[in-house]
Amino acid sequence: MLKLKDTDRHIVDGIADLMESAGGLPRVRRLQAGVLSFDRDAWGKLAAHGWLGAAVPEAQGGTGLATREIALLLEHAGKKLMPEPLVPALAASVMLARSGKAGASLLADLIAGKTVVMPIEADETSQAYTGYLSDGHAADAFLALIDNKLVAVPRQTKGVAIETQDTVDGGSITRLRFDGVDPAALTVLASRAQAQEAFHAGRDLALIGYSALLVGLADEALAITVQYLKDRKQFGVPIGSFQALQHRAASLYVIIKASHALLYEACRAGAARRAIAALAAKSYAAETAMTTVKECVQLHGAMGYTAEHNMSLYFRRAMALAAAGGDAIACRKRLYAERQLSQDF
Amino acid sequence: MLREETPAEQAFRAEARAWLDANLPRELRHANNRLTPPELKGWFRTLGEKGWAAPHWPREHGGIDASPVQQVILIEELARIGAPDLPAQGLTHISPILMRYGTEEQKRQHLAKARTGEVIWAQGYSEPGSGSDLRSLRTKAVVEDDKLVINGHKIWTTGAHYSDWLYLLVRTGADPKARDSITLVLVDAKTPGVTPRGIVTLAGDDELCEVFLDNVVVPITNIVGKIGEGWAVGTALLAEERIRSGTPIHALRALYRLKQAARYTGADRDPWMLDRIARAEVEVYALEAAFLEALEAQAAGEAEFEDSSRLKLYGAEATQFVFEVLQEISGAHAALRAPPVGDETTPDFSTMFLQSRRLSIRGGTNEIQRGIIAMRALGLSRPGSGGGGGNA
Repeated sequence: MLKLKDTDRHIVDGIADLMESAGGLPRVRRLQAGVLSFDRDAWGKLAAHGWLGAAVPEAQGGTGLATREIALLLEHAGKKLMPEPLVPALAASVMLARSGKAGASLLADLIAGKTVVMPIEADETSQAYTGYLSDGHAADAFLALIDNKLVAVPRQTKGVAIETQDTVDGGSITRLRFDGVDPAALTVLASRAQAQEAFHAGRDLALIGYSALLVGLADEALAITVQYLKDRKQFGVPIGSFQALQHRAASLYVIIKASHALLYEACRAGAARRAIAALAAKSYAAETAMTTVKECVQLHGAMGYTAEHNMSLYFRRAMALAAAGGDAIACRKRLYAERQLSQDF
Repeated sequence: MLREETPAEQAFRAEARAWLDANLPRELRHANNRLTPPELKGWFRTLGEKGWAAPHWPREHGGIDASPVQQVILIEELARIGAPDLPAQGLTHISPILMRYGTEEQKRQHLAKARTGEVIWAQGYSEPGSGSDLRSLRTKAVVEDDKLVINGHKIWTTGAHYSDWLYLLVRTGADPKARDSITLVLVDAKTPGVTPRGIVTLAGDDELCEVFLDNVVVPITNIVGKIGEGWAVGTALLAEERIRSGTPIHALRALYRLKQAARYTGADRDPWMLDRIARAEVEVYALEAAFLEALEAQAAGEAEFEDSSRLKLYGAEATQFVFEVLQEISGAHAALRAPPVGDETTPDFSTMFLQSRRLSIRGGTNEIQRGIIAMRALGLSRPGSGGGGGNA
């Protein structure tokens, strides 16, 4: 694995410090135990550090990080189980930034942390459900691609019903039901090719972002588990000296490293392969993280099955993140929609 | 490769694709059976003279100093056109050892011929009683004046019956536990007393071999490094070798076969099957990314010791997984005996799947690699009373 550059340190240390100052894992535990949790103070801290504008060019008021740097930020946020819905907000910020002037004021509010904006999958406004959005309960406004237009749908829009179901990590899946929404009343941010391009760029960044959270989560879960294997003694020796356990830990290490490599390779994809790369990375990261947390619970024995042990926090968050933005099977289905079997490598 | 290629990289890919199409004989493309050195000789020379048989070699030894991306581009293009596997021992193992530890005479005699396949090499490390526990090897070599007299029995010497030269680890000291009692020596396979014998494999070929060594006399100048330094010299570049045995070329070939089989059986129109195929494809993307990252780390001087074990293991598992998916989606065709060459009308369902089982065994089993990862990357202690072996 290539070593971090010095400039990366700023990102890595910055997000780790922020998560710690916001309350560390005890805060995560509190939020997971709650229902439809959202920590506005922490969101404000993310805004104050400029992370909400991470994916927006400096000329548009953001901090203009490269995709690779955003992945790094989220990988390290994932290690600390960041509960904040930063990924959908970053996706929305990309969509707004690519919409030009029409999106400028909403983008400014998003970056400042005043308005929480998230994208949602929708096709039409009449009698229709949108797709599910993870942690949409925290959104003040949604962005949708409807009739070839990118539109903003504020939470209080007439005719919009919000259905929210709470998830095991204190978050939610949310969908909207459009019933008698007047399309003409919605703010159009971009149209046709520009709208398509903006929406897909944001969606691909969300996939990269969720992959990064999952890679970080899996990496940290394994690190905690390896430490336990060294500390816990049975039969007079550390259980980590048993080959049966060593090999399982080694297998996790191999797939986590592969998922990490795939994530950062995907960050380097050009426009033509960006969607494929992001879908591949998300499907692989989702499966890798779930395999990891299941094994990590097992390797901890009965302690691993308790709520008291922090591994329970990793397990529940992994479940939510594996599904967010499209689970592994949904991603592979889209991967094949993007890229026909007849094409070779 | 998912990353965006630079214009220079795109040009290199175009050059590679055109050159391979112009130079690789049609009858060697997409072969199911692992071709023998005599069948490969002409192609090996052509590719070697181009500098592409071992593109990562320095130019002074006839390589092209290929960048990690160039290496992966070549791997992808070789897989795409269905180029056959070349015997790798000479290219990826003994030659790098000679570059570092060989005498000028040894380099002059062997490097160019290894690069073009004029001389085919076989590795004689394992013995019937010494597999994963290689250090217990017993083939004995005694110094008599300026000669070495070798007696013993080597096994899993892949391709030995087609090889011109062997490189052997032999015991030159009395103490079987001492590290300095092992020596690396080069042996001309035509030397009297060298008797190779093929061993038929699960896949039906006989590329596995054993070699009997009866009073084999070789000049003492054939020793690589110093006498008694064989363990250090012979294993110094294992890391290099294992990173390259994580090459995605096998997995890319497997993916090609998988898609061919899917088109033939109609699995490419079945959503459930397509999910499995997509899963296999994602695995290959991940392997390519991991391989490329390891080469880049190596080029930057940032390689970790464990990289090689991880890549060796993952390359084997990813390739085996793709062939397992091929079997899963093949229904009644799964056990069909393969035609000699797989094409759109008669794909191969079984041969390469059978051959893929070797990948997690040869060059250090996946269990050995997991042991190395557990100790070197995760810092877990050597298995003691509670576990089994785990020696590197």
